[in-house]
Amino acid sequence: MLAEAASSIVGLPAEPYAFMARAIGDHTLSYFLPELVVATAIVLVLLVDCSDKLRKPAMLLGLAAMGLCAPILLVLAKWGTALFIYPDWGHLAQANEHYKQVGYVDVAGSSMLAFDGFANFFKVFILASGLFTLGMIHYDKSLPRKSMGELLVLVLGSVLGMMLLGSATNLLMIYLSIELMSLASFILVAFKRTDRKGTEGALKYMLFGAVSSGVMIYGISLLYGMAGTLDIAQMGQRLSQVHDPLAIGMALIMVIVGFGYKMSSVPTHFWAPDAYEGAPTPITAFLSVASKAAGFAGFIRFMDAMAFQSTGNALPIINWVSLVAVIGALTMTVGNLTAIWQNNVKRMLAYSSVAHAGYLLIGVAAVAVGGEMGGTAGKRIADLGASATAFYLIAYCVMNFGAFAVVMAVANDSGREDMGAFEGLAKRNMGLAVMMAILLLSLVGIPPTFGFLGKAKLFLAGLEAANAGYPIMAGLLVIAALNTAVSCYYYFRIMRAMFIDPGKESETSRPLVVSNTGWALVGGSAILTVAFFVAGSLFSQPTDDATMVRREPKPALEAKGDHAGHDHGHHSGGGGK
Amino acid sequence: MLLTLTIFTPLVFALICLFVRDLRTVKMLTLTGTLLTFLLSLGLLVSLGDRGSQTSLAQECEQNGKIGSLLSDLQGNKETRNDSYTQNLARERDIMLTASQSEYASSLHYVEFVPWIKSFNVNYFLAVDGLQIILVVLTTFLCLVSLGAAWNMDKALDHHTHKPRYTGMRAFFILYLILEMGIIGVFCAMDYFLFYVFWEVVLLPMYFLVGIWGGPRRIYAAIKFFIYTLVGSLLMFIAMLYYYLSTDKGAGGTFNVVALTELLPQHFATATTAGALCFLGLFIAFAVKVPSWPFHTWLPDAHVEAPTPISMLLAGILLKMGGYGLFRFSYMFMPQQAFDMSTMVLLLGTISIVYGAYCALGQTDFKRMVAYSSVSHMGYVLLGMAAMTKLGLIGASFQMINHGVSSPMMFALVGVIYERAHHRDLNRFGGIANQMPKYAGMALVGFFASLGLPGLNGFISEALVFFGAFQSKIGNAGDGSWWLVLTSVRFWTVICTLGIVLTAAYLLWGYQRVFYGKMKDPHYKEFKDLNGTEWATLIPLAIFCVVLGVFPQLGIKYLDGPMRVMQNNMARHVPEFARLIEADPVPAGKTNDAPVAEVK
Repeated sequence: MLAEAASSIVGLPAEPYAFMARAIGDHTLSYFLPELVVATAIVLVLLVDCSDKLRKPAMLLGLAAMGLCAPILLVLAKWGTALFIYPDWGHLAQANEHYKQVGYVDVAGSSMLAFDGFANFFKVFILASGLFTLGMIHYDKSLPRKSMGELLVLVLGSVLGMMLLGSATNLLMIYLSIELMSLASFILVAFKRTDRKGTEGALKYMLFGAVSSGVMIYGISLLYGMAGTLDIAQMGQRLSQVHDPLAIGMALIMVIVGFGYKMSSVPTHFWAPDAYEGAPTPITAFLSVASKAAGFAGFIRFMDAMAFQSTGNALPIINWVSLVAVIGALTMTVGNLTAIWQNNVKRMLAYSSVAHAGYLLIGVAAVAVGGEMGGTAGKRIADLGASATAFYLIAYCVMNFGAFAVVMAVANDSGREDMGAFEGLAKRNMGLAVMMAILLLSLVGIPPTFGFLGKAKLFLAGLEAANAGYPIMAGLLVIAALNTAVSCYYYFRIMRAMFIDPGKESETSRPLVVSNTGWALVGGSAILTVAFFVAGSLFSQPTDDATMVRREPKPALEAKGDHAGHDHGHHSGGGGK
Repeated sequence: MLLTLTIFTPLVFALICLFVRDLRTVKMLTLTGTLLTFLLSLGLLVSLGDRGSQTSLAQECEQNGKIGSLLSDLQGNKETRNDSYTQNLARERDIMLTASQSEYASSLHYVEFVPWIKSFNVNYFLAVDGLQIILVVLTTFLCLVSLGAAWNMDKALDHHTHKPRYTGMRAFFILYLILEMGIIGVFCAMDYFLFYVFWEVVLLPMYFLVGIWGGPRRIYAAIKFFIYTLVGSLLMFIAMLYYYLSTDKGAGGTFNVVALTELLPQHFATATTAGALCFLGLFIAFAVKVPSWPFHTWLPDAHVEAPTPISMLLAGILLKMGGYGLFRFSYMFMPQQAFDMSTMVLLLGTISIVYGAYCALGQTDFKRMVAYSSVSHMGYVLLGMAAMTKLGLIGASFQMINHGVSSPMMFALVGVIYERAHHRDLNRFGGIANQMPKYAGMALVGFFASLGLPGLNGFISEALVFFGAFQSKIGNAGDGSWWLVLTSVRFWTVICTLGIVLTAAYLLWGYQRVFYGKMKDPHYKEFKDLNGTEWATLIPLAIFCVVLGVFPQLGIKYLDGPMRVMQNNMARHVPEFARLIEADPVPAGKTNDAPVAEVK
């Protein structure tokens, strides 16, 4: 198997790498420009906030919005290109030569960040959800206007951390970006200082965060001790030569805990409902979409590096497929079953976001299957899984932001977020209720909505993986289908409250007024969920691009005998298998 | 274009209604919309009967028709010439032109083919054959007729509070029109993905129509209906994606129903676990809708709680979506599995017939009795399907049409008496015939059509099913142990006749309890006989009951072709089945020669 992989690497199939061959600028720094712009925006917002004349909420918001729009354009300008930064293995000169020959666009000696389709996708995604968050901040009445500057700085800081996590390929970088986004979001959750729930949520969030990042950094240190490197691709390769599955397995699990915390997957999901309920609604939406997406990006990249490297290895380090599938099944089941009992709509949506993390893990499991299979077929399935995850994330972003915007519209009116506030909503504002109905349908995954297409793509990737000889994936899909039916029950409780329950006469006679910003957010997202369904092919290309440029090990160079002898022996052993 | 027009006319009127505040105008708009749709579909039906005046799918593919011209357009474009969508399209076109599919493809008309989601190879592909068009007409007809039962709903008063019982009727009519659109779409879609979309679109308006305007337990009934169907559809969804993957030969799979009908039987030619699971998933999805025992428990709740016009649509059309699905998808896609599991279908059909009738016998609620009678009557569809003989299949499909006329009539009859008595307890009625003779007369037609009296429509289809099932050779072991008789269709057909007896019992007993005997409540003296809208609802249904009973060929001539396609498809892919029907007492060739357009 390894021999096959090796030969395919020597020849480097043109197809997956072809898109990188397009010319790029002279300097690799141009790839880092989006992050730099966000950082500049942070500084600008801080400076403007210092001036009494300039610090108006609109001004600050505008500045922050520009600080998010410009990077989107910058990333889009680089769309379809990729920068391959080759890790420093001591053969840099040769590596340069080799990879330039086979069509990589640029080679540099550092190995902290990757700039490929995968990273590009997540950057745009995170920036766009940041923009959506700004819109919601503008709409939220309950946020203190005076401290707008601080709020925006924290949001932008968190965005920066997430962007870095999307492209980090070095465990230290991964850890730092997780810390950057987490520290900012702890404060964001507790942004309303006097709000007890917010403070409680933030405290839980932080305690969980502290513990899980502690566990993660411990795992990282163990891995570093065994592999002698922090670069994930290189680490994957070196770990396959360490014959200590217990230690590696434990260390890997520790690192996974850190990612699981960001993805809010079971069993590290306990912070999510409290933090989501306590946080200001725009922040809840932001965390449940962008932060989760970043966690997925980091995890997929990490797992992909590890799982692909274990191909052909005599000692499978960890069974990624079963691990991810079991976590996914648990996450969606726990999230959905707990959501049934919630009476607070925001908390219900928080649990539902845990459940959606479970659905997303179907795509991740497909990536794991691809990684374990290796070869061209494996690459295809892994790419399918990655693009399905990306596709579903877009759908989830639109529908989840919309649903939270409706919660905010109701809360702006009555100050309540429980089911009672939704009773008789159809009588008070038919338009809002219909929009919410569309968004809820999308969350269940019923056509004609984008959520349905997203689920179709996830299921397709999962089935493809199951078809490749992984029955556990079929089991995961059946559980996901049953979970969809369960989720229908609680989403339809909202539907029922809005349309069927009569509600209190005193409440329902008073129409609910939604401002223009509110309509833009709610109506925009509801219409987009339908429009993206009708224009079903719109995102297929961008999400197909959102696959990784894999940094394979260098058997080409090893074969020349440049590398240590014991590697060679081990590999030929693996190849003969 | 014609099919699109038929599907979306109701939607257009629904959108117009959104901006109209006045309820009366909304009603008139709904009436206009449903009437237009009905006339349109009727036009399609009649001109389809005119043989040769319409181009079929096969001709479209061959000449410069839909897919052909689309393909040449795409191939002319340099960028798309070699992409997987175009490759797949070429494959689909080739399949539709193969000799084995030409019979199927030439039975499909009014083709519309537009690319939709190219990355999934999904197309907006509509076409209808005889079975589909007749179901479309049934839909538009019932939507028009049921409107009569909905017409005065806003004037109905709650007999306790004397306030209007139903509020927000504007939304009712809007949802009603959206529902109609969804159902017509289900019957017209020839792309499986599109079918699934319409299938789910039907769910939501139905949830609201039952949940908002239903009886006391409406919320329970609505969510139960929704979740039952959703679980079924998700199973279908997984099977659908599996089909897509199994037809993937590098350029992506296909959702084209005609192409799937060619490719899937080959793929599932040998019995595999995946094949069995797919068949079961699909079967459960449709059996929930039919509904077959043991998936029927949503039906009594939903039918009883729904307001009268919605009960009529539920019984009249929604159940047919299940039967249609079994005909078009389960049996066409996986003939081998269908043949292997025909005993299961047979048993479920038998249990549905007998058990449904037995349950109906035990009901004291008039509407619940009618609801259980639906379970029983739809069991005949399964029986005919399991028999797989020419007569059985035609009987089964014709039973769907007949039940689609007689069962709504029964619900309309229940609605009439409920409006006056405010209860439906069979034991508290009595002597209504004296007070409301015209109503009693109409009820007689409905009850006897449902019972299967010769001369009325129910008789024809049930008799055809019984003849067909009794002829069936499936499971007839020539030699072997005596208990092998338990696997034969013939044996279970005999058991099914028990259903006829039970049906007669509950219907006659029910009629007796409502219309004859002493008046149990003095209030009944105040009841007025049928009013205008009630006449408007009942008369067309009664006419159809009689006309289809006397001239069954009016319906059968459309069903003959599609059923032949289905039987031939199975014979082609299942050798054992081909051997069985060679000795069929009614040779396939005999009825085959009857042209589609022949009117007797």
